[in-house]
Amino acid sequence: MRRLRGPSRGRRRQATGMAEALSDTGMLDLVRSWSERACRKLRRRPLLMEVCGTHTSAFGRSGLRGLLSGVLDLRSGPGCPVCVTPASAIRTAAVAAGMPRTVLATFGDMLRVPWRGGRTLERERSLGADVRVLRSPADAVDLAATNPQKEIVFFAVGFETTAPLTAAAIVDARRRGLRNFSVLCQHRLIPPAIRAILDSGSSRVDGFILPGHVGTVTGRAAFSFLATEYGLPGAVTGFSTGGLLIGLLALLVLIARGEPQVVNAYPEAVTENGNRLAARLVDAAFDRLRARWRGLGTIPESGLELKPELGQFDARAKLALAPVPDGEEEKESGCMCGDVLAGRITPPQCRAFGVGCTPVRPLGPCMVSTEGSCSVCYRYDRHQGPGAGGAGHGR
Amino acid sequence: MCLGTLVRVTRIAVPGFRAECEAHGVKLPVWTQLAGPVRPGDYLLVHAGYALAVVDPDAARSRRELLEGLLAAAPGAEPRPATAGDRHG
Repeated sequence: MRRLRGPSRGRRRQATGMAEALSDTGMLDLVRSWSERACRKLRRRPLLMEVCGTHTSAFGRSGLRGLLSGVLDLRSGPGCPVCVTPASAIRTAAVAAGMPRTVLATFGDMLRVPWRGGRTLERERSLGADVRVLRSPADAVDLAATNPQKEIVFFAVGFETTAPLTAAAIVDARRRGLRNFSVLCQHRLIPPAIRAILDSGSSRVDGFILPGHVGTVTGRAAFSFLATEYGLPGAVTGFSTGGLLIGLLALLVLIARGEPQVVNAYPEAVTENGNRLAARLVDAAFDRLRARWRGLGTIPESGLELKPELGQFDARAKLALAPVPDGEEEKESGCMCGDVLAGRITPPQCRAFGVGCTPVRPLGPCMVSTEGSCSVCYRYDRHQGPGAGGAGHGR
Repeated sequence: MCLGTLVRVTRIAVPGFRAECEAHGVKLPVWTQLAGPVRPGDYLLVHAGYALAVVDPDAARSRRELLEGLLAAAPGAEPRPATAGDRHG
């Protein structure tokens, strides 16, 4: 295979090299080359952040984080919705699940997230709470239709990718005249979280690998603020190894050239303005509000709640669920997920990582979720030592 | 989580609402009210049972265009952002 000698090539030789460039090894060479150029410009390794649990997992599974660690500092931000959902929200869900004639319908990852005393939804289920794992909010609506004597509460966790699904489920429940379906809404939004990280001043991020499927819903344009307000580049990126490499390359070219732009590196699934159908459904169903994120505190306009006119589907109102105060679970257990999610430390820098906290016996959500930083690091990168998972922000 | 699966539409079960799809030999129903018009043979990006987009099957062509735009741009010039166009209503 003819080796590409570097990024500065004439058009004709670039076109000839495209077929090789599109192979993963060819792309890896290009990414390394442009990383080195970015290093020379910045006088240090470029620091890139991804904000998507599926990217965290994909980078780990592909081995790219380790392969590029010499020329690139790739870190995970708060992109795992299971991980950023506060313990108080999960405890509220547990209260609902324990109510008579009530079923809590949830995605599977939420089942094993622990709160005080090692309690989990899985444990609550073993003690008699009706907790069911479903593939989709649509399944929760079907469950409501076939169980009219029970209240079906859908635990709506997820980002922009999932919020339209909850909205569509509510539309369907209304169309079918169901009175026993409700939603415990814990949806969060990614752009406000990115702003919060940048506004905190503790970050030295040079560019963002942006979530591909959030981008499918929002469009590339929703992330333009990175360039226009913060002067930073971003690349909306896919999830295959080739897709990750394209996203990395796009970002590194922009960093090396000093060009703050947000590009679409996942054009097969992402458009400029996203899925307008989905956006209209979400706008019709939800209002934005201040929301608490594990590890990041409260972020304005970063969460979704049902509009007042959809109150019949709001589980908190319907079941009179009292607000559960945020506790000190993490401090008590030794879990440092909050610091991991904010990028202050890497998973191996948590004193419990791999010792008191493993996928079999997790202390917090980052080790529970298959897309959590700690779980991914444990499975794919822990052999690299303290630097695995990217260095912390403050170090 | 951005977990998404690529599936191929085999039959329209309920127009504008549900399609029968296939991925890796597994048949599965997909809700399509978020994806706009779909046809048998289309490839869909599916998240938690719902199609979020009709996917451009010629991903290689799209990526090639993106690469050419990135690497061919002169320093200081804006790389041409590659896009599949605004498909969704």
